[in-house]
Amino acid sequence: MKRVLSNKWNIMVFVLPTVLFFTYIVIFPIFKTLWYSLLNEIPAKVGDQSHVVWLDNFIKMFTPGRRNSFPGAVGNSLLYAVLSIFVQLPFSMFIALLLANGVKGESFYRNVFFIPVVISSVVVSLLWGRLYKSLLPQMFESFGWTIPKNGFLGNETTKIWFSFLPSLWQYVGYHMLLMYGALKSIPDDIIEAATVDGASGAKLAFRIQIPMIKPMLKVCLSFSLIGSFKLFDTPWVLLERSNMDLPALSMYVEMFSNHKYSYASAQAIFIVLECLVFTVLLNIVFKDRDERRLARGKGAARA
Amino acid sequence: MKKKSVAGTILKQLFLILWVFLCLFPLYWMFTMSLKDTNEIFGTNMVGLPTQWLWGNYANAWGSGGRVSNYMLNSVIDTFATLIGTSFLGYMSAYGLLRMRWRGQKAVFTYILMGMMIPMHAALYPLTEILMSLTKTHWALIIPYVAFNIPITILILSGFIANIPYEMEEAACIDGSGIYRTAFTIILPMMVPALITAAIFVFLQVWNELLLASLFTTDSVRTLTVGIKQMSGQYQTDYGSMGAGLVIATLPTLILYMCMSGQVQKSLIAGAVKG
Amino acid sequence: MKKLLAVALAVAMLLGIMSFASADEPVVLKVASIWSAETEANRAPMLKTLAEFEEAHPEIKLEVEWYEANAWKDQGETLALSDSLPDVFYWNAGGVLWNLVSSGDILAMDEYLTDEIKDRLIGGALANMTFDGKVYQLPYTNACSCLYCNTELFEKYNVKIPETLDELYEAVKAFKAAGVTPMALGGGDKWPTNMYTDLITLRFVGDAAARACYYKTEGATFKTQDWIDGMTAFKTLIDLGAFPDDALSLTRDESEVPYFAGEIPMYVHGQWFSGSLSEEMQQKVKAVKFPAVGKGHDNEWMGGPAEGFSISAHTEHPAEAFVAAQFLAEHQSKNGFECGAGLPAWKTDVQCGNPVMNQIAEQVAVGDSLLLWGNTALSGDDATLIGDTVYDVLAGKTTPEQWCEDMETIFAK
Repeated sequence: MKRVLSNKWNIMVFVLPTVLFFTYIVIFPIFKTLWYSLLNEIPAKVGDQSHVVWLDNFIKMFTPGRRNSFPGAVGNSLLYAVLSIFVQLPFSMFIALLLANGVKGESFYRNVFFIPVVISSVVVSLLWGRLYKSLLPQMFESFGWTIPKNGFLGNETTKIWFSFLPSLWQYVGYHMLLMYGALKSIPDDIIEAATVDGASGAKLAFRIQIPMIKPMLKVCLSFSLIGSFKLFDTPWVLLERSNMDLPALSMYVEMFSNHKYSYASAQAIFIVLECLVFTVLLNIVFKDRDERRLARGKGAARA
Repeated sequence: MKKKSVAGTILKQLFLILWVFLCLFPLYWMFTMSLKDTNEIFGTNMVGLPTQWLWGNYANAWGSGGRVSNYMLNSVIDTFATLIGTSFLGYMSAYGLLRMRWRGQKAVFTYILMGMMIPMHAALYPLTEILMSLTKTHWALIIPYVAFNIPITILILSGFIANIPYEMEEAACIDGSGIYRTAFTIILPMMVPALITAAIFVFLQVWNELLLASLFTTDSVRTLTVGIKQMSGQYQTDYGSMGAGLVIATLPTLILYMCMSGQVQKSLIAGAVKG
Repeated sequence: MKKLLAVALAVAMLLGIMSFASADEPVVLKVASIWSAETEANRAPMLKTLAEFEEAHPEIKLEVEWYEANAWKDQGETLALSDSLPDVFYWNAGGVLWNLVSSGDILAMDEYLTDEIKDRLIGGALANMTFDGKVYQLPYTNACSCLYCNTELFEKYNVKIPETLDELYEAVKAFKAAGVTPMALGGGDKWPTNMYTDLITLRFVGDAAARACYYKTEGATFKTQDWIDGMTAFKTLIDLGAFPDDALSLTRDESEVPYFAGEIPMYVHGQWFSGSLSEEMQQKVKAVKFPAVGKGHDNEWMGGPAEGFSISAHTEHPAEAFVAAQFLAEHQSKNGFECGAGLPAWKTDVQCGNPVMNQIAEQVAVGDSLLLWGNTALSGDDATLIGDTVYDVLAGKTTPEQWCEDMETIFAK
């Protein structure tokens, strides 16, 4: 059997096509983007006037200037990350705890809360967009609240917050489900033991349940952070044309409206670096937990 | 013993019901919007049920006006082709990487998994260079969708495949079947739950994808997500039809979900645990 | 031997038939057109044009892909980079045309453009599509922008249709006081705002100076008092509350809905808007020249033939592509005018059934000059910039002086 499983020819047949395909479509383009980000502009556009400028594009991205919106865009993506981590995740956790601890209608609630996740984000954006333009203003008026100047999506200061809302709303169910799954897998005897000791409610949650699902929390944090840096769909549909208030939007506009391909590539590389850096940071922060889990013999090593 | 206070339970239920309302209201709104005429949507009757049920809006959105039927067909084609691609290539490579024995298999496995960290944006422009000539066909989307979803597929499969004992291969070997027979007739059937799990994960990613779809499709191969976005521009004066289009676009996933909610949720959790 | 001859004859006949067949086989051309939405005023005439082409040229088969205008703008240039542009395609003139011409993606048409064909064009039709003496596009429409007034609302509120800028301010104030939003504006799309600012600044700056700026000629500058005055006039309109509260988030289509519903009395927009008006509205709406300011530039217009059909430099059938492009341009010009979607760019006897379009045609015919809109004459990020800067003024983020500073940066490149 060993011979069969080690047959080089067979191995190639099984693995090589995928690896080649993957390399050509995913890896090779990334390096090409990296290369482009180091040029003043790509050859396809300026012929032999294309040359290496090393980190110029990256410096340009962050040079403060009235018309440079990229630093602001990065700031906005961090803002979304903060909202996601400190508002959305705790909220999802709260719901997950309520459900995992047992309430009437547990599975009904769980199923309903997940529905927004399966709806296309374009639909979500368009629905919320309509809401912002018709129902919400009416509601505000009847309650006597002031509508932001120029409308929810027109007001310079608040529009970015309102463009975040649909995404945050949509994925509560997603995080909730993951946390719920993890909470449910905590062995019952541990919970019982803790309850016997007098822990309940908040204490139970903070002392026992949450610490025990740290691995899943790491996953949620990961999705959350990386999602914030890549955020594109909802703001693109909701905000005004050529809006550049988020890194992914900025990259898209620079690439397809302004046709500054090298500059846009630099922005793309920045987004990738952001994701890599935070993934590594998360891994470091959670390293101890991982090692403890490995020691307990659970699960395969994670990439 | 769990202490239960009546007030606490009522509060909990109220809170949960409130969130149910917030989750479902947009759907209700979308549905009622699809049946109203523009005036009602605009001002006179925003929240209530439509006074007249304008089913004509649906005909509009589905057919010549919104062409949602075409877009949906394209989405179905792209998604299922992608699923076939990821399942096939994913399984083959997972088998080769995790069941077979050779030097460097761990390295290649890590290589592919690292690819998972790369968002599609980063490869966007070079992808357009490679794929632009294919934009009139479905391949322009299927190719990148398969490529970018192979890592997560392999990852999900890896968890499941580890649980299959090598005795299976040994028995097959003794029976004299070659590697291909073993992989496809013996191990593969045992991996069906895993493949379904991976497929659901990939389905959700691909069905709703917007960025690549808007760049790499021309009208004849446009997918649902782009079609809806485009429709919003087209139907500024006919919100009823736009609503109908939205409902048509959402219904399949909703129905699929309601039938398979258990499986979908399990699948997601599994994907997350591995990821 | 006989057998050999028979075979040879058969082969010869077969070859003959085959060459016949391929001579009959139509040349297939890929065409890209905008107006994918049913509601586009130009779509119906284009369908008619395509039908006419099918009849007139059975030897050429057109495979048409429809796009939404904004999406095609973005996708076209990317296609150009990989040499995958369709044989014949819709494109704008001015700066964006120059982009593709300078990168060698568009075929010059001069060798097919006979004098006889050129004679059929209106005067000055090719001005924005000729570079270095070569022609790269054939227009299907002449364009211009003007002020559309809903006379019914003016009568209802007893307001005079403005002929001067001061009268415009008065009209805005009067409507505002009556609780009516005076002017429609889709600020979210940005370029509709340029429709306003281009015309207002033109009145102060004048055709010559504005032209120099938009075409980035040596010595041009935005930092003059005239430019500041022009943008200040725009700001005055904003401060008087001329535009809807949520203009910044409205798309062009959304912003026009209340106008169609007869709720907003004024709109500055391109001539194509007259084609979007319902027959009922066409009776109520009067198209007038933008109000005068008294600095000698009051009969100058923004516009000019600014869009048409071009041929890809990589086409395999240049002669046929030219036939198609020329036919499409000329017939779309006729059909579009006839149903009121646009002004003709080719000489035609056809009458337009749309009274508003006729009003525009009459007035622009006696105008002093036609200047291409800033965002069409400029290209790339300069064009994006002029959209962004007016958006900022509309949002109250920048002052007119700052607008001039921002625009001045285009000369630094």
